[in-house]
Amino acid sequence: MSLPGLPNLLALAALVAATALAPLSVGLLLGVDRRVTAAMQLRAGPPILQPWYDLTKLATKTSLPVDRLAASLLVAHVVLAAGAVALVLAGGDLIAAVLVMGAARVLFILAAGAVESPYAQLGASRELILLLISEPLLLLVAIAYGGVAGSFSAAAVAAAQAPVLTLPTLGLTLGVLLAIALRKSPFDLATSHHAHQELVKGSTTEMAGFWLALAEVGHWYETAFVLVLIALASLAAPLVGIGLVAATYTVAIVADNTLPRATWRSALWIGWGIGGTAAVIALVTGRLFGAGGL
Amino acid sequence: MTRTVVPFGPQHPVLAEPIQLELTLEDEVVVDAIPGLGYVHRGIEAEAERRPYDEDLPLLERVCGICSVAHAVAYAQAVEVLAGVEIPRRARLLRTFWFELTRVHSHLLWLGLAGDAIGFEALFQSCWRVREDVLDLFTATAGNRVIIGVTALGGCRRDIPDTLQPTIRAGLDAVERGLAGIAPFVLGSEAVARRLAGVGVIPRNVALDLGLVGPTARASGVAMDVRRSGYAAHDELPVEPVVETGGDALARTVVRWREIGESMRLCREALDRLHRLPGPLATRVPPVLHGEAISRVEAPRGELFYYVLADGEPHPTRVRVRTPTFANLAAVLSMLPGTQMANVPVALLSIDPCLSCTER
Amino acid sequence: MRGPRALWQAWVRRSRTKSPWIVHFDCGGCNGCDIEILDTLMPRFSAERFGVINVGDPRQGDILLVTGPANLRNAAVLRSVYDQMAEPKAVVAVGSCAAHGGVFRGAPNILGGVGELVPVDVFVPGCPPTPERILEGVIAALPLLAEPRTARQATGGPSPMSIVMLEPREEEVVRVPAS
Ligand code: SF4
Repeated sequence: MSLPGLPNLLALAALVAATALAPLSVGLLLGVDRRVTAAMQLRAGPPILQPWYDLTKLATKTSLPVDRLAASLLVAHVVLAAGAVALVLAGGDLIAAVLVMGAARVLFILAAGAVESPYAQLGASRELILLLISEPLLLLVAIAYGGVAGSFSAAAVAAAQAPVLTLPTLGLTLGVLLAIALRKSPFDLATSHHAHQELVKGSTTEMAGFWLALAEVGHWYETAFVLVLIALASLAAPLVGIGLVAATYTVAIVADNTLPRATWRSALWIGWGIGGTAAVIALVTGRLFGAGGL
Repeated sequence: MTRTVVPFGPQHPVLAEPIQLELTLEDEVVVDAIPGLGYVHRGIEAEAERRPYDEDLPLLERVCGICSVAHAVAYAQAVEVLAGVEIPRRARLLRTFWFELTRVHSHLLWLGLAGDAIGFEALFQSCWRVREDVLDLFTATAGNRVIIGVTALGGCRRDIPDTLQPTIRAGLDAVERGLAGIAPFVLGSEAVARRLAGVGVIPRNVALDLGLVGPTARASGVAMDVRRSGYAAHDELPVEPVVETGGDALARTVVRWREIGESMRLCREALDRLHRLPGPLATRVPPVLHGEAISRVEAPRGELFYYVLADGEPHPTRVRVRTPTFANLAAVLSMLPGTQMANVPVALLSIDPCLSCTER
Repeated sequence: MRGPRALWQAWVRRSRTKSPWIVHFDCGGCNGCDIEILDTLMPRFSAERFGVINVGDPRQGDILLVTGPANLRNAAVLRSVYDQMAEPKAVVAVGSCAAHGGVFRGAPNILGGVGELVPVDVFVPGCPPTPERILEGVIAALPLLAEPRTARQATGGPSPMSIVMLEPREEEVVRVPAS
């Protein structure tokens, strides 16, 4: 076994830095999101850095007694979620990354449901529904990428020619996934920043201070994961990726502001109906015209 | 089938007020609901028996900060019956103006909260934005936003001079523009209708049996409205009850929405008649009274009933208040079983409960 | 040049004072104050520009907004809501009732002022106070959130029971016209 060379060390440092920065940039994005939402409602919104302030404040609150089991589940959740993002950033296997992210979210659901509060448990069961919508979609996306690139490794997908361009409908699936990650209408079943109802805040009911901050970071990683997937698909044409995120945002914010919260059934149907169909179409076209068979 | 008992409140963000509901759930469906009350009990009725008649007025206005005009008018009317005085026409019209404006602000407030309960935050924000314009009218005419203290025993404490009328009319126009702006999201919205329809259904016969009042009763097809008894200026400004037959949260929303328009019309008509109307603001009410009297008004949430007993002392011997929410709370308990947990806030809100009225 | 530690501490202090999540507890008021509190979040007053979020869970809150005179039934609830909140925290008593019982002082079920039960940092007078002044009260409490109460005492910061009294504004003095 040889010592890692300097280039390898540098690459490792870059990976760690990128993984650490990923959620922070999602925080900024959420800051913009809150500003835009406020503007839609004719309010003055918070500073763009607000999510960072909130996170720091939560993390430095004097801690309250917590459930040991829930706490360790939460830690594991964040570690796995960060791992999934790092895996993609390192050019690793997409399918594995999707599964790791799924596992991370299962841990979060367990953490939310580990406590006695019926609100937290209801919230956890709604998180589970969201997971049921997004995990199959993520897998379909990974498979479609693989169909184009001829390999499931993120590095190969990055090297391939812009799968989003060749698979037009895949953008729709990614949009649905982003809306789910951001908990936008109609996927705002389980959590929402401004809701005044315990039911909606359910999954984080029993979390406070540092632990709530951890849950938040995990959520940021989840969002970062989808954003990284979008970036991966639009390396050759960054504008397409940016356009996709912007379009998703526009649709989601308009939906948020003109519709009441959907029930979980309709969320399920919209998610699978739109996202799933689009993914399957993309998959088939990828098969027919892709670079290599699987 | 798993049964869970969910404590709902007393401190919770669905309502601004503390109410406790112990919900027994089977999966996500409510099978039983037991309310726990008394968190905002202050003993106002007992306190009112210790204070002079005129000092009771500010106290009773604070039974409820939303419909304080209703309480003030109801109490003042009872005292006026005891004193045997007629209040001047000008005061009657003024009372109706402020009363109906209160209804507009109360209904808008409710509509916003209902929007919040169905996760439609933009509706919440826009209803309250329009409500601000109504509160501006209160500020312009009474100097305060919420508890306006305009009622006096025997009439009104404040006047709306003719010079103020153009400002108020402009304000009413602004409110109407705002209402037109949110209308597409209330009655025009498929999604809202679908979310509210079928939630918390109360059939007409149940509404009659439980003795429901106000918009809750009218949404179940019971055509009752105390304004038809002709109190304040309603003898010259008659109202037709707004009735719907659906009996669900949607019907209650529609009733309240249409009542907003109705009240705006009444405000304008009252203003018209106030223009160039000479006359005093109040009749003197003696400080010592005898006998007993009742008084009813149509508060935004339904019939508000006051009973005052006087024994020849400077303060009443008994003041009894029966609030609309007290009558309507029975409806909540009858409609919660069978409701989805997610709909509990909507069902609870749909009767527009006011606990500080109910518990006093 | 400040060291990274000092920079971090400055960032933490800044974050804590720019992210006041409020918990609202109605302790028997008349709804007037409660509605005005909700109103601060609405477009005209846009409390969110100060980072204010209305949270339902006391354990996630930083500022407790209490309205109404405490009564015998909800005293214990108020106390437990306060105890569940994590330091640094502050209490703002909104309205005359919360200050001393207000119009209800002396009524049978009234304890008279929430200061009897929890340490109040800011009193916002008025019946009800306008949303602007409720916001002012919240802002007055922000510096108290920079450090936990114990640290505040140790460093000679604002003491736990410091009271910021907001004088009634000119336009809020209601004058009854002489008839
Ligand atoms: S201070 Fe006045 S407005 Fe506020 S709760 Fe008390 S009585 Fe109501």
